[in-house]
Amino acid sequence: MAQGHKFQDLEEMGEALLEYVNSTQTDKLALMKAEHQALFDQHVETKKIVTQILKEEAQIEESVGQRLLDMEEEKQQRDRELEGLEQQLRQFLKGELESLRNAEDQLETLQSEVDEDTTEVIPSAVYVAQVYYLITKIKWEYETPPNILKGVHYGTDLATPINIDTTARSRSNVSDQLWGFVSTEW
Amino acid sequence: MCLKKCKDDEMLFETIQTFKIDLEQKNSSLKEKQHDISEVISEIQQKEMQKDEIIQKIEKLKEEQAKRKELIVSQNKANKDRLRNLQKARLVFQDHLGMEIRTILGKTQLVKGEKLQFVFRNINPSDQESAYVVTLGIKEDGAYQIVSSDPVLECLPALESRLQETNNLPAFLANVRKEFISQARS
Repeated sequence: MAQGHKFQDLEEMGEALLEYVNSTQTDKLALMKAEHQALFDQHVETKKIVTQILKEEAQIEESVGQRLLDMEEEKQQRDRELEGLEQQLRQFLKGELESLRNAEDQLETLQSEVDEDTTEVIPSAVYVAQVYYLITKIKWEYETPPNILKGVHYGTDLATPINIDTTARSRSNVSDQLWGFVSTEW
Repeated sequence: MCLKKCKDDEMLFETIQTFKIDLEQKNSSLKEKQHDISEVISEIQQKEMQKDEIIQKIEKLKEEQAKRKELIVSQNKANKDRLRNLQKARLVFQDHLGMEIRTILGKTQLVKGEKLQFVFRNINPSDQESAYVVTLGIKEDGAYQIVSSDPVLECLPALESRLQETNNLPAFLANVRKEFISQARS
């Protein structure tokens, strides 16, 4: 009888338990399960989106990396351009300066020659010419054929033209004639 | 399974962070490179401007030099022309008058006409080249002084005093020549 009661108690307890579990926890569990499912679904969704973002980000990363390479290349190109220009400029300058300097040297040389002629050679030649004129009073014509002596003797009262063909005459003969214009009278 | 999902998520987030940091770095590198490129470009522009400036300066220098050259060349030409004519006349006197004039440097600085040498040729018809020389000095007051003659002329002192009396250089020379001739042609 007692076992029968115990068994009945157990049954009742069991039923009560079952009732209890079924009535309350099931709801809670179902709720939990539903929430869990929702979270899981959201998570999958989020993961999809994040993966997509990552993909796009990877593409951006790649294109930015490429841009960086392009820029580096451009910079190097510009650097080469600059160097080329500088070298060009240096060569050009060197050449021009050298040519200017050479021309300047030439000019200096010519200037010295001009100076020497002006200060020494010409005055000296003029002096000699003056002495000749002082003595002979003869002025020669510049453009004459080779063996013709043409000029003028400027005597005190008279100007006498001179026209001598030296081909057929001896040197002393011509000299004697010309000295004839210079008087021995004091 | 939840734990595994968590780990996966953590990795995703880490990757996102890494991308973010990397992109920031790349961006700042890009900015830097862009800046460098701008600097190089501006340097190139500056150099181009400098180059133009220098070219202009050089052109100007060349122009100035060309002007100076023109001046010097024309001065030289004028000098040479004058010298040519002076030299021509001198040669005519030397060859046909048969008298060469030489200025001799004294021991001190050459003063025009300090000593004059007259070299006669065409004196001896059988030896036209042989030289007959008379050397004079000119004092500060312009007075003449006989230094020597070659060959020696006995009448030279007499001629000297007449010269000093009259200052008549032409007559003196004509008489000296007459004496040389009478010596040579007798």
